[in-house]
Amino acid sequence: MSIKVRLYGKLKTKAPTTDPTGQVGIAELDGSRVKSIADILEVLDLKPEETSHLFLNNDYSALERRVNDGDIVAIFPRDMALLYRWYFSRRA
Amino acid sequence: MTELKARYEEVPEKWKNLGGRGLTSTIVSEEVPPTCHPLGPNNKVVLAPGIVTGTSAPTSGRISVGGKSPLTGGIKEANAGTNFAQKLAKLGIKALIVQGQSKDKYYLLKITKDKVEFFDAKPWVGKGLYEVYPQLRENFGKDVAICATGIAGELGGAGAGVAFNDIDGLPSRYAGRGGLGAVMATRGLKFIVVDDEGAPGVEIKNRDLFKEGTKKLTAALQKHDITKPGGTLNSYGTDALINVINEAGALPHRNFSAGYDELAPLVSGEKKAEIIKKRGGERPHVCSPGCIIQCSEVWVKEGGKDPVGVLEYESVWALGPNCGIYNLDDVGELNRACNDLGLDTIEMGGTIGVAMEGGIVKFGDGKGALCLLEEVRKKSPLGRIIANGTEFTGKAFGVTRIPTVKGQSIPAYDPRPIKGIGVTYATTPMGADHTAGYAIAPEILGVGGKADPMDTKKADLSRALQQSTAFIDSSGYCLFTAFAIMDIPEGFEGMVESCNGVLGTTWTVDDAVKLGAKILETERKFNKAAGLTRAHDRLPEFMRLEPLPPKNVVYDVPDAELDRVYPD
Repeated sequence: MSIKVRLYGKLKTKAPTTDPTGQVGIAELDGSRVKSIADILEVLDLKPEETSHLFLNNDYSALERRVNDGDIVAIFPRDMALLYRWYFSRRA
Repeated sequence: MTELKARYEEVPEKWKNLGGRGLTSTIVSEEVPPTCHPLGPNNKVVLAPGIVTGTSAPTSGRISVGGKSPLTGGIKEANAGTNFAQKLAKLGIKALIVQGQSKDKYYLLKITKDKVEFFDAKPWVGKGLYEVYPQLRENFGKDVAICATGIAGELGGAGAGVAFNDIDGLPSRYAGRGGLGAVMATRGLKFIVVDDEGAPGVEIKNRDLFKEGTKKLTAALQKHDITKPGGTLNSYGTDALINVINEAGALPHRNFSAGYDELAPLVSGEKKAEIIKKRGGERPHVCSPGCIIQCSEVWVKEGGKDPVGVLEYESVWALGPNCGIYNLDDVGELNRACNDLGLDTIEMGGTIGVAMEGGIVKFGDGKGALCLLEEVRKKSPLGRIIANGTEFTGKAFGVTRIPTVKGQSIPAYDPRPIKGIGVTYATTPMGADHTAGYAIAPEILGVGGKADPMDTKKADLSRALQQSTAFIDSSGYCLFTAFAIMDIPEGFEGMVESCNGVLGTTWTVDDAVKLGAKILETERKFNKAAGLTRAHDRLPEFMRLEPLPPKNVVYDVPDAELDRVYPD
């Protein structure tokens, strides 16, 4: 089991491979090495300020949210922020 | 139109401080009988630029179009960004009211600073708008702005929008929603051409205040990540939302049967920006002069040929994932067909989706979808069904999963995982409309709605958003300014100050929101008299019955909470 990370936009270059569409960077991380989305950013050498929207299993999520084997995390870059914040809050 | 006469009237005192949606909805509510047939002799089409439109205020080239909607049976306002709005405003025209019906044929109305003239529109009837627009410029001047209703309007189709030109003259800027193109066509009016040469310009009562206000708003727009140069909208356009909403599990696929699909990135804003750059289209681009966000673009075919204009998020979603289509070239051609025929892209995406559900064409068949739209051009019986929109088509083919509210197709955010937007879809006087509650943050307005998407207590939040949106729709500013003024309070102050500068008023931010509330009250009163009740303030039943994957949630906001938005 591992954690699958989907990296959008200019963050795609941080991933070793892409999804079948070629548009999304894909990284598979060992679940025992990371405990939270923040840890994932660190492993991928990403600073929080380089990111905007974070999703864990389709939930709009906070940086500190815990992750487990089998989870799917999606990370958007700073220049792709576009959610209506009044309809979304980050799940802690 | 009955007598082919045009006359100027002074703006009544009570309307002097209104613009855009505030003005169209007020005029429609005062002059159109709520129970009239939308395509009959008593309906009217009203066009009104916003309060600051035609000035140097940034991102403010909006025009509102109003009337009784053949799609919803209620009042309708749809708006577009186009220099048509600015030219009309510079001529000193606060509103254009089109009434009556010509007896025998279609006309073109030409407006200049000196006169208004009617021309026989016969040479351009029954033709696609991409062919007609250059011909009209050739006949009436290369710098004129053009408003049109297309072949779909000629059919009286409730999915017909009102087309305007972009800055390159393409018929790609639409006041699309609610079938106002059919109302315009049934007046006997096919085109409006505006030439603003020698126009006096917009009167500004307090220039210093106007300047101060626009300076604050400009600063906010240039600072915010979403609206600044090189920001999200500027880099990728509205279609940047495809991947974001897909990851939120709320991008409707295959007629609202799933909220996520791994193919969605193929029609994303990033992918589109890449292709436009490669093919020599344009990105970014402005919909009207003076926009500093510049979210628009020009989509082209391979080799840089056959420009379509912008492919917005809503259009890409509607004509793409909602129909199981994940090919931008197919989406581009479907969008071109909608623009050419005078059809609302959102309504047509919903329509093709239910036609696919009904087995007329297979999900994913882009060429088949295009054939369906081409039936509209042929004016065939099937084309007439399609031109009437999602609900009509769904009924025609025995479909029960029909994604509409008050007869209008639901846009690109499935409300099952995003409860708040569902409250807005259900309760706005406009029928399902994402833009109706797309405005100022509840924190700024001091309203206590929680922003957890899964929380069902949303009435206060939705009401506040609808009120502030109604004000922005009246101001002439593009709704996308809301992203910046939501986070930067000085931006909203600047917006209100610039309106005060034009009008000579002393509105506060609170007054602006109260003005929005008043507009909604006017619209709801019209709808009530037209026969729309609380039973119409509901989402379609299937959304309460069918869980939406991947989050597998149904819409569970109680009816009582929906009714709390407008308790009267």
